[in-house]
Order: sequence, then C-alpha cells, then structure tokens
Amino acid sequence: MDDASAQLDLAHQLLADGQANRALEILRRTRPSDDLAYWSCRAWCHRLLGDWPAAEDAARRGLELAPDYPGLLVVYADAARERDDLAAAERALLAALRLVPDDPVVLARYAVVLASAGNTSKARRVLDRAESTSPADRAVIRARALVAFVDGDDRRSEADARRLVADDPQDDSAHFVLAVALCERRRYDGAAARFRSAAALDPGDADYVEAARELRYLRHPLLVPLRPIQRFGLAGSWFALVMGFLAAQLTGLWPVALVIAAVWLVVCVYSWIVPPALRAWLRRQGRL
Amino acid sequence: MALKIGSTSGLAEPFLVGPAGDGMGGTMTTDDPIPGDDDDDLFRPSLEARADEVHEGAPRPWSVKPQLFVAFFGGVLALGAIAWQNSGRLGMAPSRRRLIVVTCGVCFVAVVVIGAVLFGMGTDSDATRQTRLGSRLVAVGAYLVCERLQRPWERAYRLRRGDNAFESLWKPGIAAVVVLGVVQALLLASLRLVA
Repeated sequence: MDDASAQLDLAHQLLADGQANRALEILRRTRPSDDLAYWSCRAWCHRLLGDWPAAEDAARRGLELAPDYPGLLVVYADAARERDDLAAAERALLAALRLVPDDPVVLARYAVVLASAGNTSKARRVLDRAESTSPADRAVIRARALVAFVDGDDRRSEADARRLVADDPQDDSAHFVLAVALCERRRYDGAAARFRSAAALDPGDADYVEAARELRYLRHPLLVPLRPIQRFGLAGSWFALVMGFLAAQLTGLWPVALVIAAVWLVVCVYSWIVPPALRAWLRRQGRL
Repeated sequence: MALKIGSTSGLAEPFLVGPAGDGMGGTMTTDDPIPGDDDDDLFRPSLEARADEVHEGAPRPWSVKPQLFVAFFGGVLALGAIAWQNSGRLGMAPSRRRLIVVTCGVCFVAVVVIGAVLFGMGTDSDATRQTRLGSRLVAVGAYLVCERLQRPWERAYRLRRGDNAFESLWKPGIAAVVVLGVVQALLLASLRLVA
C-alpha cells in the first residue's frame, strides 16, 4: 500500500470516528486525485463540518468520476438543500433512490426536502415506505419530527423528538429538535434546558448557541409582563381580552371594561417598545 | 427566535460509504425506475415548478401571527390582501391560495349580511357598534382559517431559513389596515343608507 492510499485510509478512519477536522487535514496534505474515495471522504468531511460550498464542490468532483455513487449524491443533495435549491436536492436524492430504493437515510432526507417545500403529504408517504423496512431508524424518526413540525402537529413532533433523545441522549441534534418542538408548544423553560443540552454536547454549533441566547432573551425579567402572551399565544391572549372586555361591557361593568382596555393598551405599547430596545441593548452588550 | 433546524443539526447521521466498490455502489443506474414505483408518483420529481417560484431576490414572506392585528384593526379585506400576498411569497400551492380568497370572500359576505340585518333591526348607533364588533369577530375567525392554511408553508420556510428571515409586516400591515379598512368601513356605512 503506497503512502497516499495509507493516508486516505487513515482519513476514512478518522471520519468514521467523527474527527472530520483531522481527516480534512490529512486530505489537504494529500494531492487531489481522480480517486473517488478521496472526493467522497473530502465531501463528507466538509459536510459534517458545515462547509457547504466545499462539500458541494467535492461531491460534484466525485460525481464526475462516478455519477451513480449514492453517498456523494446525498452530500450533493444536502448542500443543495442548504442553499435552498430544493429541486436540485430532489433530483440528487431521486437518483440515489434509484440505486438504493429502500435506504431509510435517503428516504428520510427526501421526506425532509419535500417538507421543506411544504409538501408534507408526500413526505409522510415517503416516510411510510421507509418505516415499512426500518421502523426504528433514527433518521426516519427525526424526519417524522421535522415533517410534523412543518405540518403544525407539535405534539407529534415533540413525541418523536423525545424518542430520539431517549434513544441517544448524546445526540445534540435530537435535543435541538425537541427544543424546537417545545418552543412551538410554548414550554420555554423545557426548551431552554434542551437548547443548553445541545450546546453543551456541541459547543461549536452556531445554531445551538444562538437559539439558547434567544431563549435567554425571551426569559429576561423585563419581558415578564409579556409572559401571558408567550404562554397563551397572540391569538389566545387577544381572544381572552376581547371576551373579557365584551363580558364587562354587556354586564354594565364599565369600570372593569375600561381597566381591561387600559391594561391591554399598556401591554401592547410595552410589547412594541421594550422587546426591540432590549434586543438592541443586549446586542450592544454582546449578550445576544 | 432564530431557529434554523434544517442544516447541520437536522440530519447529522454519518452516511459513510467506503472507498469505491464498497458499501452502496449497487448494480442499478440512475436511469432505472425505482422498484416499487409502479403505480404512484412517490418518486417522480415534484419540486421543479416550485424552484422557479421562490427564487433568490424574491420578496421575503411575512410571519403569519401578526396578521391577527391586520384582521382585528383592518377587517376581512385587509386580511385577505395581506394573506393572499403572503401566500404567494411563501410559494403556497394554488389550490391553497384559492382557499384563502374563498375564506375571506365568504367572511366578507357574512360581514355584509350581519350589517344589513343589524341596520335593518336596531337604531343607528346600536347597529353601527354591533356591526363593527361583528365584523371584527368575523375577521378574527377568518384569520384563524388563513393562519391554518398558511402554517405548513410558513413552517417550511422557517425550516429552511430560520425565524429571522421574515420581512416586517409593519408598513404593509398599516397600509392595508388604513386603506382597506376605510374601504370596508365605507361599504358597511353604505348599508345604512340602503337598509
């Protein structure tokens, strides 16, 4: 085995161990070649490090050598999806599915691409197919949670995300998906805890850090008067206000009606002024 | 809150295939039909048209929740205009966009009917107050339906771009409330003359 092959095998091993950075260092020392394994490894390194343009470029170079390589088609699809070119992502994933039609990971990715385009009915059918062969596959469960999120079925999204976390508490992305589901159900304390867990497991992920900061902002003491709106939602809060005001008016309790109207006006003005000012102040402090 | 859940945090399973000739090469080619795809469209491309609709540089959509204020203060016409515009920005399916139009149309007819009945029954001041109240309630009801229709596409947009990618509804919302709110008020006021 020559030195280049040995380096490539080492890079593969490091990548399999989750050390994409070190694998990339080794690949950079190796001269790029017309070796499919080189471009496949490089594409996955960039993909796992979130360097999407480099991942797409490496995937494209590899696909020029072997257009029918599912692993590279998946990386190409992920990168296309990241730059919001869902049609290109779909084409790549359909090409991969022609080669591996029942692979749960590819099917799950295809379902997420469909959900990202709002086509959740087709996404659910794709996941049904995936579940028929691999019901407990984590990629499929995660895709279910994301499809449920898009559908607005936050209970289902939370339930699927909890399965993921229970199955592997060290999976940072599972904590993140659960945190998002909890946010949608307005359980902000639980969501904050999950964002912190995700950030603790992967401190380098900017999305986790930013989400944890946003939740700290939402739970700031200055926003306490707005907690009812956070808890019951905008429509729910307005509905309660209008019903309370009407009830007071219809029963002749004008002072009560006036108090309700005055409190709500103050809360509205507060919600228009304080949150943006607080956000700007926290940004200047570097805390947001 | 900036939640972009579709990137590296979304599907991070290592999908590793070994060096060429290992793992998942398979024997099929990308031109072969997908097994089990005999009788439905599961594996036919469905996103080609959408890629042209929502392109780089297109105006960003508005978040759906603030449309409640447009409905409450501006009425059904204002809500309908904003929701229709937003449905296009979100890339919603044409059938769903039509449902928004139908919903707001039906609700506007309901407002007119309520006004006609009330002006025909009560005194001017009572009828005006009750018509205003009734039109607000109907508008909020229309909002709840339009919100439900827009929700999957709004969530899909959030999945792709995060929460902070929406455009502010302040200016267009106020414009819709002022302009179309006045139009609706004038239309309802004309009922008084007819009734």
